[in-house]
Amino acid sequence: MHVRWSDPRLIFPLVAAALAFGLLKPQTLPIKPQKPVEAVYRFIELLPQGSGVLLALDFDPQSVAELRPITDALMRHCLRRELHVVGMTFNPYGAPLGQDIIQRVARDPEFRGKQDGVDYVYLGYKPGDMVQVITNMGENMQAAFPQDYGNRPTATMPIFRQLKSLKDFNYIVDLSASSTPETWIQFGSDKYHIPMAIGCTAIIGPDMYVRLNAGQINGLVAGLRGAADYETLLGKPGQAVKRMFPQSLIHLLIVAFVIAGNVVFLWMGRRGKEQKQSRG
Amino acid sequence: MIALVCAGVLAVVNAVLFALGVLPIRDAGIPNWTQTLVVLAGVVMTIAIFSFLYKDNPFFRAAEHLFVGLGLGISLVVLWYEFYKPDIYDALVVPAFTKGMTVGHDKLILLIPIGLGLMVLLRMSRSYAWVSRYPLAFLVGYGMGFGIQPVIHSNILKQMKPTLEATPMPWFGWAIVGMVAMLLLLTAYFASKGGRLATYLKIASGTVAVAYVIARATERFGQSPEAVEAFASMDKIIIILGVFSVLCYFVFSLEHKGAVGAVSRVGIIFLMLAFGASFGYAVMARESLLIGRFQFLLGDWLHLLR
Repeated sequence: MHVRWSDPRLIFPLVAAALAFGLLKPQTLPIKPQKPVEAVYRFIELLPQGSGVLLALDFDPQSVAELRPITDALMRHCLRRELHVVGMTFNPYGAPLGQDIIQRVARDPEFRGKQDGVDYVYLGYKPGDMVQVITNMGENMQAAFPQDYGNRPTATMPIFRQLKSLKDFNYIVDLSASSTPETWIQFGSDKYHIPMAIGCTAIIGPDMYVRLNAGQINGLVAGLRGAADYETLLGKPGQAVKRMFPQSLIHLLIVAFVIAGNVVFLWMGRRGKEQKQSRG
Repeated sequence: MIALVCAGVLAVVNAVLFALGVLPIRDAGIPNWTQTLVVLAGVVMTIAIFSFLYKDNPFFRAAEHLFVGLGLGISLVVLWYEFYKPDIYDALVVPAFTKGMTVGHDKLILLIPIGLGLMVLLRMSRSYAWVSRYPLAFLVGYGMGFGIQPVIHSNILKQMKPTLEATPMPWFGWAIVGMVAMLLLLTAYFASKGGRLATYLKIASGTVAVAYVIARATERFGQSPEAVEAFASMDKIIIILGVFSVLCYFVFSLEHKGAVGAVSRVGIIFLMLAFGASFGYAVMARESLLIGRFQFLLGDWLHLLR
């Protein structure tokens, strides 16, 4: 097959090479946390010990590359601050992922002594209409979720002695790659006056700034950059910080391609004009 | 051809990895064949999907079909275990057909949604398709009743408040804002007429925009409370200008000429900026996924990452 110099397929190996270089020769870049991310961190820092934090892990394997580091950092922060974390999801395909992330963080030697059902719990997926489920949670958590993800009855779990309904939670964080934050804001945060933050994929990040500007959420952790910011604030650089260098390399490459493309476009446009004039 | 090349390269690389002892994956020195197979399946699928970047090929299509099939299979399992089994089979069918068991009265209410669900299926019949409209009407009514108030409150009223909130700013701030707004409008107006003046105005508007972005990003300004307040006020004015001009662009009952045309062209600039920001974030999101896949290939498979 004939490949022209302007063939877009030439971009792919260059991106792959830049990415491989970035991963094989990692460099630490200075990371200055963004204000919306810092707001989430500060809010969790100021929550009193034993406060309830609801982590809605509404994502599936497609978004795990971005949302896993965010969830990991948030869960770590909450456990470090001795907060009670309840995890759940409205995405059936993401239910096992949520369990895996929460369990892995909780098993970290830093959190030795933290008990499932006492300090944290993962409730898994709840089928049905999201609005209806949130409303049920607002009435009674144990009625909405009679069992946790491991089929253990929630009625006997010490964590729910204090967190009887959604109203007893001090913070909601929706980690999402879809439109679930809107429903959480409308039927969870706004209705029960619970402060809320959003952790989301970069692709829906711009849509969430509207909510941030309106004060409907008090913080936003968007994409891998947001996760890297949070890891930096926690003082525990993880996957997201590691991925910042390769991502920056690709950014530079794309910017170079955009500039080159525009230069070629302008040059070809001028040449086309000149050819027309010479013909005329 | 490409499929054969991909398969050949994969086979050779895996053979080398086994020869070097990188594979199989070991847990405390003991080979973990399940984990090894999971990683190899992931590698084959990833490379099969990436092969589309060169061109469409059977290797890619096989992976694509497998993905669709798996997705459908998982959906069916989820549907069964999360909806049909607990709400129909275990709640109604098992007690009804098991000796010594009776269906609880509280469960009988489930017959109503089941009936409504079955009515939707009548859409497939030509003679009785009209029956399916009733459950749909029920759904629409329920959705509207539940949604109207919170949606208006959250998506309109709460958004209007920060947009229209009073912005404290000294008189010279308003003067600057007025001049910039005039500059933008004049640029938009003369841009449609062309000529040298339009070029100068475009350059002036672009310079003002770049200067504002630079000033906004400058660390020194970010630390001064007066500057922070002034920038916050300016941001709000930009938002108001954006909302007004974009709304103007979407008013189709007026011809976009003269003042309306100029304002709607400013609206186009705001729309383009929003699309650009969204596209930038979309690229970043895709990069993150790509980095995740490369980490998997270089780390979990080739063991090249520390």
